[in-house]
Amino acid sequence: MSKAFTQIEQALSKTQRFSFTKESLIQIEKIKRKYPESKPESALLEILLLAQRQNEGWISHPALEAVAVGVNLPVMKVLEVASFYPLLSLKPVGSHCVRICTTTACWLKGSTDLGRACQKWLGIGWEETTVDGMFTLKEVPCLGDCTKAPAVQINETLRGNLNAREMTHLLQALAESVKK
Amino acid sequence: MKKNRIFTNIIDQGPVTLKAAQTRGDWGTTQEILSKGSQWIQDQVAQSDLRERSHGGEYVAKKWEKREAAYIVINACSNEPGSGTEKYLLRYEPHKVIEGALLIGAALGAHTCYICIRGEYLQEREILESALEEVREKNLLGQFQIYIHEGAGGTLCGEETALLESLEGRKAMPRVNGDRKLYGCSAVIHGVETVATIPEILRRGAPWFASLGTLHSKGTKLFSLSGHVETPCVVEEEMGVSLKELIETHGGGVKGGWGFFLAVIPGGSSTGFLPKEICNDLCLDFESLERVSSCLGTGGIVVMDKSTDIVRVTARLAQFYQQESCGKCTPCRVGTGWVFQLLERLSVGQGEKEDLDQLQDLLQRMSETSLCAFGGWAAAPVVSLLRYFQPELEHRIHMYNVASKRVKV
Repeated sequence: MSKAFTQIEQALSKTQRFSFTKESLIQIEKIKRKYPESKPESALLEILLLAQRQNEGWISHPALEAVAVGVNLPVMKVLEVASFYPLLSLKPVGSHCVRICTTTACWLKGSTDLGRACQKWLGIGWEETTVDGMFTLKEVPCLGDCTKAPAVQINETLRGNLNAREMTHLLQALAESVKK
Repeated sequence: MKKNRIFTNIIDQGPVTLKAAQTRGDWGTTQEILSKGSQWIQDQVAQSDLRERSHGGEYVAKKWEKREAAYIVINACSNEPGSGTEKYLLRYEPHKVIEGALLIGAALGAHTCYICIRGEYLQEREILESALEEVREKNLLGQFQIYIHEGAGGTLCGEETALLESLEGRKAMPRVNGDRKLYGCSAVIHGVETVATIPEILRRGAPWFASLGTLHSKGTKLFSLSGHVETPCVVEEEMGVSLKELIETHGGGVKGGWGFFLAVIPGGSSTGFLPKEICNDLCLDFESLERVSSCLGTGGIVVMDKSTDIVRVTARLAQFYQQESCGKCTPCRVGTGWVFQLLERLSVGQGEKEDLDQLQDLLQRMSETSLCAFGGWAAAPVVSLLRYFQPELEHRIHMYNVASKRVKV
């Protein structure tokens, strides 16, 4: 529990600015139209995900406020939902998010090695971000691609059948592409 | 079997546009079926004895008892470890899912359908969205509305009331009163595979579907083979197929041969483990698995060979369930954490024999007194570990005590 609270505190203490872009606002209207008019709160999760995508992969306090205005709910209700789902992040993440599946099927196929290789190469632990803000490493439950175990999701692409060496090569390639 | 396959594109992995789907037979006689009326569809589904293709395997006709619903909710949200079938269906057969939703909607007189999809399934969401776009352009849906609801996942969303809560924009926690209503209106919830099976049943007729499979499990089912098999895959087979045959013909056999086989998870982690003695002549259908106190579940088969440390696998699963527990009721919130801690210790043998009794007691309380089915799901793998691998646990405890010189050899 205490971990969740520190995350929330971090989210509250950030004094970043956030407002939805024009495209996002159009998107929000579109999302809201899917649900009955009297139930705008149904759109909450999708709008939170939208805000997260626009705000470099995490939801800051101003973003929470903007979402709350969008769905006509108190900020606290929005925070309640945002802190519940593991897909939503309330603290800053790196520009590349590496999610490694470590549940049964992937675990049997060596996701532990992948995790260790990443931790060694990046010099960070699970749920941490590198000092240069480039990579975040996350341990996630089932990505739904058990037949391609071990599965890894880097940003928004899913990769399967990886071994530790291929994994470090991938990270290296990513790091170099950013430098260029 | 080949001519009876429903999801041909999962093997072929061809294009998923409307045109390609139509050449495979989707949307062919939809209007004809719709014109026969809701009663006809309901009767056909009842005659086909179709059962829900996830968890308990409830009869679909029983779910439709009230014969009408305002909303249809399709659950593509649960991320139970081991089940890859859902993703394949969305990726290669999106039109069957959409058509199925339309037909269920027509049968129950619903006006809207929500397909709840996990936020992680970005690619699948795009495929589904473009399929929906095409269908809307051709005006195949008529007045019926289908929307994609992007959720943030969680195994708990496999529990129906929690899914509805999540859809209503709240935390995915089960409802105390077990009320299955969406926005105060009646709703029917189905898994993706069940929905995608329905168009084919109506096209080929209920007798065709009922002629396949076993006495209580009709039709075909998707199985996903993963873990220690040579070629992991998703494959469709008739219900009642033997596990050994499935692994050997489609999975290329167990790594190291059948002799090196240790245990299997027959249908997603909440169905527990089954050891080799049982698997030798095990058939995959609802009644056979019920007989060995397991469950067909989602058809996500995870095979483990003898190099596997089964206690560590269970401990890892217990950790997963601890993270996924929503924390609403005490038995599940406290129980999952406690079980995980005990297993972490027991995996290195650190413990006493009394710990096993305590674990047993804890698991019983968890599965009996939790608010929703999740407590039972979380307990199942550990219960099966105690049932089939207790000597292994006792051996570890003994070895640890010998090593720490607490007892003499």
